[in-house]
Order: sequence, then structure tokens, then C-alpha cells
Amino acid sequence: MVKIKKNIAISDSGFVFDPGSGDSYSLNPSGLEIVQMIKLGKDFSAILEAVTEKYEVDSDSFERYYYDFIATLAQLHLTEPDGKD
Amino acid sequence: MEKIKLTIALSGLNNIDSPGPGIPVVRGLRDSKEIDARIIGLVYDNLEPGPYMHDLVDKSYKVPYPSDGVEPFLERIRYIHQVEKIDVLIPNFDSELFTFMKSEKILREMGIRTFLPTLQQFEERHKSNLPEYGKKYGVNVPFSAPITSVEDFRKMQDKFEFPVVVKGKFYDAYIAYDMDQVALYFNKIAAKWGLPIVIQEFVRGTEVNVIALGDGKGNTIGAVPMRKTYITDKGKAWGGITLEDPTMMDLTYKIISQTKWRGGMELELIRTTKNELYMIEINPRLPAWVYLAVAAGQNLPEALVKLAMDIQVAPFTKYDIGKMFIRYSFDLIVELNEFEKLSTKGEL
Amino acid sequence: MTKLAFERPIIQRINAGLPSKYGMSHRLEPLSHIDGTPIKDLIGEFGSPLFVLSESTIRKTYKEAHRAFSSRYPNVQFAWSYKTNYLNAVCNVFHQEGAWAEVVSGFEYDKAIANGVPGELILFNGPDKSTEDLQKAIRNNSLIHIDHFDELYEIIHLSKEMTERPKVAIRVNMDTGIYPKWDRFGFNYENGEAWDALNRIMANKNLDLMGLHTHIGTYMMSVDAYRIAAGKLADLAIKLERKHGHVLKYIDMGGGFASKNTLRGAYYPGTDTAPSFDDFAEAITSVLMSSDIKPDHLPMLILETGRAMIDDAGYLVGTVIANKRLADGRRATILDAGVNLLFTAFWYEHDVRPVQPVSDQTEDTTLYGPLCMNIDVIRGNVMFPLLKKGDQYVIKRVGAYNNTQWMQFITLRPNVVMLDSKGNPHLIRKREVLETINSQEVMPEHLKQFKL
Repeated sequence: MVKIKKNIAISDSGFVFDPGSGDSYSLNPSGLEIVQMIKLGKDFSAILEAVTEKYEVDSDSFERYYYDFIATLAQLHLTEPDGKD
Repeated sequence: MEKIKLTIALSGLNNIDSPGPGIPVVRGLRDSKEIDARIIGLVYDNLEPGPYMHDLVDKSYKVPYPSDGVEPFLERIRYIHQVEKIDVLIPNFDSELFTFMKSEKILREMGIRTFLPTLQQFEERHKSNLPEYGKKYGVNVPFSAPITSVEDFRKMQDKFEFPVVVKGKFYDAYIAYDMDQVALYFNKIAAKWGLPIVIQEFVRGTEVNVIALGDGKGNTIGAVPMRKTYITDKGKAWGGITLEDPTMMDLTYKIISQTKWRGGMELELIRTTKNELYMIEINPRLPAWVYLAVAAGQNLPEALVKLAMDIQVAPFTKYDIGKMFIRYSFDLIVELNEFEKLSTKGEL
Repeated sequence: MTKLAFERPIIQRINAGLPSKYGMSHRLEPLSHIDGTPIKDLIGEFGSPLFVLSESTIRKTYKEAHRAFSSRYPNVQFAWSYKTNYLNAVCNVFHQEGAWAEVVSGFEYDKAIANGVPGELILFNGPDKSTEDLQKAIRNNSLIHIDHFDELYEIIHLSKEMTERPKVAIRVNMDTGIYPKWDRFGFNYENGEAWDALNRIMANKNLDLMGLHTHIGTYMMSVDAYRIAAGKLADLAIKLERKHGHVLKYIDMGGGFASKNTLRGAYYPGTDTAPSFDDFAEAITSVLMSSDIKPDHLPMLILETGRAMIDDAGYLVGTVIANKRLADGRRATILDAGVNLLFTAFWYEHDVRPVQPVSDQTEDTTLYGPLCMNIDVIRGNVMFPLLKKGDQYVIKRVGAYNNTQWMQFITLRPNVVMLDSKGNPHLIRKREVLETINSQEVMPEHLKQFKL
């Protein structure tokens, strides 16, 4: 399961601060929602359920966006390296 | 005397190693005995120091870049104006001036005053037009030509001798000693500031500068000549000293009266070993070293705001000669939540 | 309960650094309708991608240009530059507005004739006119703009064999202070070649010298160059009257006016920097009006501007094929229209918009076309909202040159529709089918069969 690094600070405005690198990022609202769910320990299927319930999106599309998004988080070193889903 | 309360919005708050004029302009306004200013910062980047300098800047807003076009810019100004009721707006970046001049009338209708050169004054002093400018106003200028590709330069290479100066449309200038360096700097500047790039004859001598303010009717409201005592590797002044130099002053009066220059300006001149003055560039705004003029007795930012407000300004007649400035850097301590506010909300 | 619209999740680094060309992104307003007609419906009916031309924009732009010149000069005539867009429906809108035809090849000449333009209202420009083209033009009393001495001598030769008198003008090239100088077309002003050519025409009793023509460049942002050009043509006109007592019928200032598109590498958007028709008109007419040409001898002023007349009226609409992430993390969005259809993408930073309101968020994106070629880039590094596969886009200001320079490469050219003044679509060029291409090919007998 994907895990966001423990020391990453995420504010309600979508501002992300990585104290390890000193870099900061901003999340769009859906990005923020997903990151918060990941932080709560939800796995892909739980997130998929929550998102498709609330939003107009089919599971195929969401799956693509989700994994692209997770890949970006990994590229930015914001997830634990051994995190697997 | 009671001070006039004014809300003044300005940009150029990047008070870094190669500083914009914003913070020095604010210092001049803060020194004013006539104006009680509320300063609104217009910022492009989350790391411009100005927004975090709370004793100088009261409130800051992020604005879109001029390259996005007039409309998005005006939309943002309308929003800021709604909140802040701006009286005077002072753009401090060359790259903004075109956008501001284009919007001058609309801003005026909104109740925002500016004091800018006219589009014609702005266009004809462009680096790429310098030779014609020199001819028209009888000023020595180095030979120069605009190019849109390195190939262009290859074709006219026989008109130049190395080294040459490679200059951007708005900023940046590098001395190139061979073709490879011309290509290198061409690409570097073009990527940042677009085309054309100007190739200028390299004139050997001492760089001297004049800061001046024209009232738009041909009168010089203030002018202070200065020599940079040391120049950083970015070509910016490290320190400078005011000069007594009637020929530089005469040249300034001549240019301002002939062009009926309106607003602040900086003349970049080279004094050759034969004691001739060459004009390298006219910057159509107050330069970053404007506070030296303030300290020498000419508060040009204050005068510019008064001109914008249609308040009578008597021309300055003197300044302190031998006044120096030494630029220093200072590590401002910033809380992360302030950075977060500016970067996510666009206001601080 | 209706569900909320979903937006792709993204994370972006907050860039810290000095101001550069790309700044605080502003919201890219979607464009859902053209002339009141939903783009979605147009794609539904005519397919994707699709060129859409707005008749009312063409007419509005034409009237605006005509007003700018005719309010400043007594005798103004426009000629539609066929090469800019020679779809017949487009040409006919201009002809209905009163424009003559300006052509640069025998093919374009025949097109104008087939559209019903009277021969004497066709300006024939360009360096490539065959003997047959010239004979046809002379027979139809068309206005032949001579490009070089070989052409002049050929016309003189033909004039001896034919009963009709050739109606000619010369194209003049000159230094107007701009770079690059267009000196490969016409006769040079500065070195006296143009004056020489005019004297030879005057010396020949079979030719009627009608006017002077120049075309100083393309995508001109400076009106000063036109001021200089008009001054030089006026000088020639005055010299002709002084020496030969000959009064010219017209001065043709050509075209080249910039449209509102943004050139690649430009710092400011074209919408801010392109001079208006009034600016061009003021520069040109003020010089002619204040020249030494006698007021009752003022020649007709002809304008052949193409790009500025039609660019705004054209739209290319289409559909997103896919999204990708490039190796460096940037977003790549693949569109169903590439540089084969949008030739102008090579020199413009086209204004690309989403059709549906998708998102306030934008991301640094490169927009690719569908071709198997690395150069197939519609826009590099643009802050663009997050479109999904199947979302629609619209590219603005594509009316000039794309319908004439498009390529049939690995795919077929799509439908072109024109929206009439009520916004109703009319198909004006049918999408190509395999037969369109194959019908032109001939298979040698021995290649007809193969066994695999």
C-alpha cells in the first residue's frame, strides 16, 4: 500500500512541505482529498469507492488518474520507497 | 503640514542580489514628509522579498505576468482595486511597461493614476532602435543591430568587431568575445526574454549613469548623475557615488526636453578615454539605485507620485555631490506559513 | 443526488526563482460556442477534427478594414488574397463584400474565374506565370503585376501577337527599414531597376501601365515600414507623371498586416501588440494624401491583406486522444489534429482552449498532434487545464494559410464547415476519403497482382 512519508506536512489549503528536501508543492482539491485518504491508510479500492460515490468519474478513468498521480508523488519522493499498492 | 494619505501599488519587489527598484522606491515614499502611503505590493514570484518586509510593504498580491496579456492583468488589478482603492500605480519592471501603458486609460477610468512614458517614447528608445534614436536626438550611440537568429549575426558579422555586447529586449547583457559566445548568450537570453536580441558594439570606458524624472512637458524635475564604484559579476552596481558632471546633466536635460519624457528614467552612458559620452541605453523607469538620489536630496519617488496626482512639483535644483551607497544583502527570516499563504492564496 | 465534476488529481512544485516568461497562471477560459453554435454539436455532426469558419467574423473584419481605409482615403479597393484561404465559400464571402481577387498562380487564377470573378478584376501576382497563364490574363484584361524583366519581355512579345492590350503594373521591392528585406520579388527601388522597368513599359506602345505594386513582408508589426513604402511608390507615381505625363490608375500596397496570433518567441501576446487596421490605414493614407500627387490624380489604393482578414474567422476543433507523462515529469496531451492540418503551429503560439469548463488548475503541458513525427507539436510548454481523453479543444485564429498549406500525410483532411450569419453550419469542403487519394493514382498493369 502506498504510504506518504511521515514527515511530509500537508495543510488544508493543499500546501505540501517536504522537510527532507525543503521543497514545497501545491495539490489541487482532488489531489488533496486523495492524499488525505492515503494518509488515513485507505487503499486503492477504498479510495476508488469514496471518489466514485462523490464524483462523476468512472472507475477505469479514475484508476488511470490515480496511478499517474501516485507515480508523480513517487517521482517527487513524497511516498515511502517500499510503498506498493 | 498634514500628510496626504495615498494607496500606492507597485511592483519590482525582488530585492535580491540583482534587485528591482520596488523596495528603494518604497523607502523614498516612506521618507516623504508629504505623503502617508499605504503600500500595496504587486508580486510575480513567491520568493520576492518585498511581501515579507512588513515595515515597508503593507499588503501584497500576486499578479499574472505581462506576457499573459493585458486582459488577465487588468482582471487581477480590478480585483485588487476593489479591495484596496489604489490611487497610484508604479510599475518597476521594464517588461511591464508596455502592458501598463496600453492600459493607462482604462486604469485612469478606474481611478488609478500612473505616470509613465508614452508608447512612442517607450518604443523609440528600444535597444533595437538606438541608432535611429541617436541620429534623431544628436546623441552618440554605439552601433547596434537587432537579430532574430544567430544566422542573422553571421550575415552581418563584418559590421562588428569582437567583443560585442549581446543584449535582451528587456534585461540581460553579456560581452561575447567570439561567435560561440554570441550563440551561447543568444540562446540564453532568447529563452528568457524572447526576440529580438540586440548586438551592440562594445564601447570601452567607464560606465556612468543618470537617474532623472521628466514631467512630460520637457522639464527635468530631478536628475542625479552617478558612477558605479564597483560592479558585480551580474553587471549591477555594488556601490556608487554621485558626481558633479555638467556634460551628463546637459545631455539629460537635452534628451528630456527633446523627447518631452514623462516619468522616471535611467540613462546608461559610457565615458570613453577620449572623454566622449556614449548613450548605451535608456531605461524607462526609476532604477534600483533610486534611494541614492533620495539620500542626495532628490526624493524622486515622492515627486513622481505627486506628478501622477497632478500636484505641482518644483524642479530640484541641487543634490549632494560625493554621496555614496554600498549595496548589502540581508537574510530576512520568513515563517513558512507566510510563504504558504502567498504561494497558495496569492495574497499576503 | 447529482455527483460533482471530477478533476484529475495533480501536485505541482511551487517554483521559486526569478520572474521568467511563464508566470502565475491565469484561468484559461473555455470556449464552448462559435457564433452561438455549440462546438460539441459541430463535432457530433461533422466529425473530429473539424475546421470551422465564421462567416460573420469574415464580414465584420472586412467591414472594419474597409472602414479604416475608406474613411481616410477617397478611393479604396480590397482584393482577396487567394493563397491565404482559397476555399471557394471563403472567396465568395469576400467577393460578396466587394473584394476583387488577388492570385499568384495559374491554378488560383482559374479558381477565381470559376468563382465568377470578372477577368479585369483579378490581380495576377507572383514570379510563376506560364505563357498560357499570361495569354489568358491578357485576353481577360486582368491586371498583371510583373515580377521580373523576363516576364516583361514575354508580355511585350505576346502583345505583338494578340489583339488585346496587356494591362500591367510592376511589383517594386525596397528597403523599408525592416528585416528581412524581401528583395527576391519584383524590381528594386533603390538601385533604379524599378524606374528603369517603368520607362521600358512607357516606351512600349502596346502596354497599358495601370499601377504600382509592392508587398513588403509578412506578419508586419511595424506600421512605419508601410509609411516608407507608400512614400516610395508615391515618388515613382510623381516621376511618371512628370516625365511621361502618365497618371496611374492604382497603387497596390499589398498585404502582410499582422494578425492577432502570437509569434513563437514573442514576449507579449499578439492580441496586445498587433497594430489595428486603423494604424496601418493611417500610416499608408497619410503619406499618399500628403504626397505631391495632384488631388484629382490620386490613384485607387488597393490592399491585398490576407492574414489579418481571415485568421480570426477560423477555428480548428477536435478531441483529446490521450495523456502521457514525459520522462521529465511534464504532461503531454495528444490531440487529434497535428501540424499536417495546422501548419501555422510552426510559427505561432496558437491560442488553444478547452471546449468544456474542466478545471481551474493548469499544468505545464506540451500539446502534441497525432503524427508519428517528433516535430508534431501544436504548443510546447503551455499552462493548460487537465483535459481527459475524449475532452474537446478548440484552437483559435487558424483561418489564414492552414486550408491552403495543409498536408495529406498518413491521414486524410477533415471536413470544413462555415457558420452562416445565424450560426447554421454549412459543409464547404468534404472530408477526404481513400478514394479521393486513390483516384489520382494509376497502377501499372504488371504491379496489379501480388501473392503473399
